[in-house]
Amino acid sequence: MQPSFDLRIRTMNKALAEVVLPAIDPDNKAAAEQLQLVIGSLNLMQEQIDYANWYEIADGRSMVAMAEKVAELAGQPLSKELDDAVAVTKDVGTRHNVTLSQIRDANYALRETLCDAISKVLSTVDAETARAISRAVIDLTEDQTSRERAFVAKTGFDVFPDTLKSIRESLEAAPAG
Amino acid sequence: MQDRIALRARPTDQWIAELRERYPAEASIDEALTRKLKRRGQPAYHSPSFEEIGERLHRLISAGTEGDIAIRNLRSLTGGASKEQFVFELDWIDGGVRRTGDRMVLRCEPAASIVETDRRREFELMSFAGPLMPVPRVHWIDDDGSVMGTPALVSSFVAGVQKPSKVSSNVTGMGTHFPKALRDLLVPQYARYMAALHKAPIADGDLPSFSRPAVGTTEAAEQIVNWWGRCWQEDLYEPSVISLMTEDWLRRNAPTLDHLSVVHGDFRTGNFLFEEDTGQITAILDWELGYLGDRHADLAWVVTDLYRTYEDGKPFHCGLFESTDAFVDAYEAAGGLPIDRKKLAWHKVFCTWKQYILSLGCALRAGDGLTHQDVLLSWLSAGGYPIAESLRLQLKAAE
Repeated sequence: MQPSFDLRIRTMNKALAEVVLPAIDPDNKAAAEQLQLVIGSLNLMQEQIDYANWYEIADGRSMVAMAEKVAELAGQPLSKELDDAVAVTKDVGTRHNVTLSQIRDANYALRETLCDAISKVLSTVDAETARAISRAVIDLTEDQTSRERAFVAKTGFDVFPDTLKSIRESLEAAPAG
Repeated sequence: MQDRIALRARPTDQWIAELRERYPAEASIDEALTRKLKRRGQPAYHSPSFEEIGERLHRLISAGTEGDIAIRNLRSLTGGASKEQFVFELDWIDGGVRRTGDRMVLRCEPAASIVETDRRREFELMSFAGPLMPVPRVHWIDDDGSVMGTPALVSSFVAGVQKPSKVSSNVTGMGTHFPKALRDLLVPQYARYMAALHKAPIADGDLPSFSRPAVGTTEAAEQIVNWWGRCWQEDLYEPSVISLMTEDWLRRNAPTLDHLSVVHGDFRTGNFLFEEDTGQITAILDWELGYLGDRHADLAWVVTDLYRTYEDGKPFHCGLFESTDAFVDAYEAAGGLPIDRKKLAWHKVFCTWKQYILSLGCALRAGDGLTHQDVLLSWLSAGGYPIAESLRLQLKAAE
């Protein structure tokens, strides 16, 4: 499909940087700052857009892996709502006729039920099991955090250069489906 | 799922009441947060015109001063991520003396803000800190917004810069790194002002808008966890496992308060001004996140990983301190109260969690059509992900 997302973003950025920005009153610092942020945000989207679907699928798989690990450590299924949310996430992750927002919605529901389930299980199991679950959950968040950091690295906020991956590297490290 | 999304977008009285009960906060914080929720769901924010602002400002100042006044050159001021700020020149009578062209700053609350705070608290804190360090003199307050249309504060303008002119940084001063010559000038002043704030006696009548957690208890820690836990629940766009695990850890490990201090709450690079040629600090700014509690929080805020900078591959805190030890040494050498490393570590986790909530909760929620700088807040939210990594590393080390 033409013009591609990439081309459209590039042309918008060019117009903003070369036509709009020089036309701003130099004393209007707020306007200049916000325009620079718009340009930066478009650059960020230009990099992210090609990976958006892959990102959501990887996110869902990471949460499924976490739900399964917590249930294993707790020695019991966590909740019917969580099982249902896992099933939906697995389903949308394998279909072709699904929109990005449907995958995001499924992930949102899974994230919410997973948080509820972890919160509940931590308050009901013995201290040793709770500690083991906490450790496992914290370890498993590394995969998600690595992906999120890679996705926004261009904003320049990251402060852990030694472990910052490219978007592709971070997605390739996600659990297999 | 849709229920909670809808409740956050258009809160019901019942949902607000449940949050207030689950996360009991100090009265003035509770009031500010509840006001925010009741406003939510209203039409997108548009800044009033300069003419409207000027007219309201004239009424506010006239009501609180003697004689005629004139407001000139009202214009926007950049720099913060929170309040809508303006600068102007004022002709007025100050203590019986006619003054011309005094530069002033007006801070207004937009329809929503990355931090929902209370102008009365800010006014009281700035007045309290004035004798201890350079702080803009506060003149007039409209704490209920009855004149300005939104709560607002007017203070004197203070000259100075947030960062050296030849140094680049990210928004709101984050990522600013100071060259050694400036560090040598700024660090002793910075440490001295922070130490003075924490040691300052708080008399019975001081700071009436603030609650006073009891020394020898964990009330101070619980109070701030409740404050920010409530903010997260009110503002989040996506539930978060790392936030859940952090809140659980903070509650299980809450430290006991050994001394009640005024805590600035955002005492970092970007929130003080200095003269570039002399290195003299001219103002400590942004008091809106202040509270009464544990001094360790102010030091921990500075050593959070988000404010890390690098020089020749070596990390610095806030572009000023070569290590946590160097900062604590400077603070204690400046007469600061003793620093307990275990409490400092707890507060670092807390401060990192607060940054996470500000980034991925408050900034996104406020920046969704409700402020004068939505694009800035959206940009800032990306900082939440390296913050999540910092939380993960700290929790892993602590468990």
